Amino acid sequence: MAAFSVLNGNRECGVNHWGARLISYFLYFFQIPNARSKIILLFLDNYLSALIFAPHFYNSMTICFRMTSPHRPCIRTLFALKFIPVIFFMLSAFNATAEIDKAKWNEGKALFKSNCAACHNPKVDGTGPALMGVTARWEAAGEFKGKTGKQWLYVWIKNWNDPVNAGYKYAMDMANSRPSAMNVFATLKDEDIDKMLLYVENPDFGAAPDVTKISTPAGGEPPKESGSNTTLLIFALFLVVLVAILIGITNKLDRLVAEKNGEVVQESKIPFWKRPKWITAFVLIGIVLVGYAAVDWGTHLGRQQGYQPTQPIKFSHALHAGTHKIECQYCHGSAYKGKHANIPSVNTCMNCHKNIQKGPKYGTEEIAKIYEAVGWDSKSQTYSKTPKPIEWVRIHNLPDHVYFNHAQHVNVGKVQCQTCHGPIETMEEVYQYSPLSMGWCINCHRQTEVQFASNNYYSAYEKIHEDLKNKKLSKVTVETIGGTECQRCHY
Amino acid sequence: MKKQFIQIFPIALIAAAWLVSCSRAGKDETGAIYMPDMTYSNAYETYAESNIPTPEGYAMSARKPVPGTIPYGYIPNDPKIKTNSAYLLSYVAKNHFTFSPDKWQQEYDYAAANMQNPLEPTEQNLAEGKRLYEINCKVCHGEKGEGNGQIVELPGGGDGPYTARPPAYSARLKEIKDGHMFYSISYGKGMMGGYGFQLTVNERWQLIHYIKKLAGIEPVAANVTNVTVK
Repeated sequence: MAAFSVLNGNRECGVNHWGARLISYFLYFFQIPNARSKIILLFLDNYLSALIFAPHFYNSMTICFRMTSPHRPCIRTLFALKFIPVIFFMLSAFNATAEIDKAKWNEGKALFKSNCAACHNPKVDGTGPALMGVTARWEAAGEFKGKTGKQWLYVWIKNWNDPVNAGYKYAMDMANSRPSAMNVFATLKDEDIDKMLLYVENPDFGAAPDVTKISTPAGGEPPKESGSNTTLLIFALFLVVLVAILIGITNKLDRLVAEKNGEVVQESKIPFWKRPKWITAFVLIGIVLVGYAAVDWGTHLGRQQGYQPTQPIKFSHALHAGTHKIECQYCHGSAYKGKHANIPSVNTCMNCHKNIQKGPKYGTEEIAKIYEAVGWDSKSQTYSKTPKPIEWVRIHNLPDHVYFNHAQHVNVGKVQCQTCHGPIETMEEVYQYSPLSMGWCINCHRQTEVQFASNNYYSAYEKIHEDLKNKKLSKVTVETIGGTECQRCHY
Repeated sequence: MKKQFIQIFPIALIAAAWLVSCSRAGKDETGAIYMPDMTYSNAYETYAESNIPTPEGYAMSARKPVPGTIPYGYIPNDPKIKTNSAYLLSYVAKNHFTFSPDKWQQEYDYAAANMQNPLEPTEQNLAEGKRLYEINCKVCHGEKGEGNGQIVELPGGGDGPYTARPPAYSARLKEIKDGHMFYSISYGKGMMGGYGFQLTVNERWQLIHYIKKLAGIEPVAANVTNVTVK
């Protein structure tokens, strides 16, 4: 038997899980020697690797199942065994941190969040430096004027000017290392600083959920109309075949009955596809099918529903708008003000990504592209490099002979973004959701009611206001105020 | 005749299927188009590629406006702006600043000394401020300005990806002035980016009213006579 090799490219695609399971079911089904033990190994192995290993670790492995030698233990299981010392190490590390006073740590975290977190983070450089290990750094700076480095740190936190004025060298270096000065916290007590340092030195103690592992909502695939059509077609074909078989059986039975009764059955020599009745039926069915296909194809000409171009940066709307619930207009702010819902300039990205340097899916790779575009040097925290435009690919292409204005729809019409753009908050990669055909526009204009009463925007429509008052009109749609006139959109 | 038809029919079917199969839009595919009259614009569409490159060599039609361009929404002859120096300054404040790190504190204080909110805190201004706050600020500063927006603290609990937690408004806003706020919103401060690109001057002042209200401070309009540009 041939050797199997299962390549695990992406943890999320689940190839190895399903692959492994399929193989094990196959082995079990055909009662191949040692299959049962192998299944247990495989499942155990799946669980082990899912529990223990970080995803990036798991990704780079190539797994082989050699079915020719059933006694050979699964390579991945061996791989797992190899890392048992790592688990022990992790457990011992956990034991070491378990001595921290949880209550004090929590207080310290709260204090840090309200006083320091705007500029500092234990692990990430921000306006201020990353603080993990700060006690050791000050301790190492040495004694000065009868105070240890750690004592000077406490003085610095309360008012950073004091150690600088006293002439403590490390403090002077620190003061010059950053462009913006630290705030003064004169009211902080020593025990508060103790608690904060407890948090700063052990930021992972509380084991907060890791944000880099947020799962994005499923979906984001283009609408699979053709997919459901294919299923229907296959089903229809299956039914047709079934009917044909049944007809064949009844014919045969009829003939048998006839023969039994002694009647002479005349076999026709002409095959069925040459009989006029059948030919007519084929032609009619053909005309219907080809006609439908032609009309369907014709109406899709020039429309781009489902268009999903590959973008230069793998920006995920599912993560930003879905998981983190950032408002659409945070980035596309001019949807409210102008004809065009703008593509955000890179400085909008930098509002958050100056701080967030690593994404949950692509790590630093995609965010580095923003830095490159805006000319941000993340080491010196300055915009010192040459900026370079990002070449986004436009998805929604309306023909030039149609006028569309976002502000009118968003600001006046109060139309939700999702009405036209579909479930954007679930799209990993954006596609054109709506057909953007004229029928689609007109349909919405006919059905959508306008918020007409107490709306200054429509005060000029005196006749309609009067008709509404006299109950001549029950509702005002976009069509009533001229939303289906040609020159509304074509001028 | 019949024979010919039987020969041609399957070919026609295959041809139709082929046409249908490759004309639809999809992944990286815009689909086929028939007689595209007046479809492609002769004028540059927004963000369209330009055939005249920028000095840096990029084919962008979206260029930086020439110096001295009047921003959208600015009405030069509006008496409200002409007579209100605080308001006028908020349009041209940028010209007074160098944005160099060592002069930062001076410029920040200059903004505070010379700018006050010129808008009346009417219901309409506050409502617009609320709308803008929820779009632009809530994500970090939280719904009530406590510094717990959804990217700082995940709604389900736990730390968000954004590690620089903004200070709560209630703790900070009593110490700082309108001009300080205008400076921070327009040009950024610390980790916060500037929103001068996204928000008009009017919108920024509306926001400041709403933020003050959130922090429990009564928003007031500038007393015009008190403000003089140094």
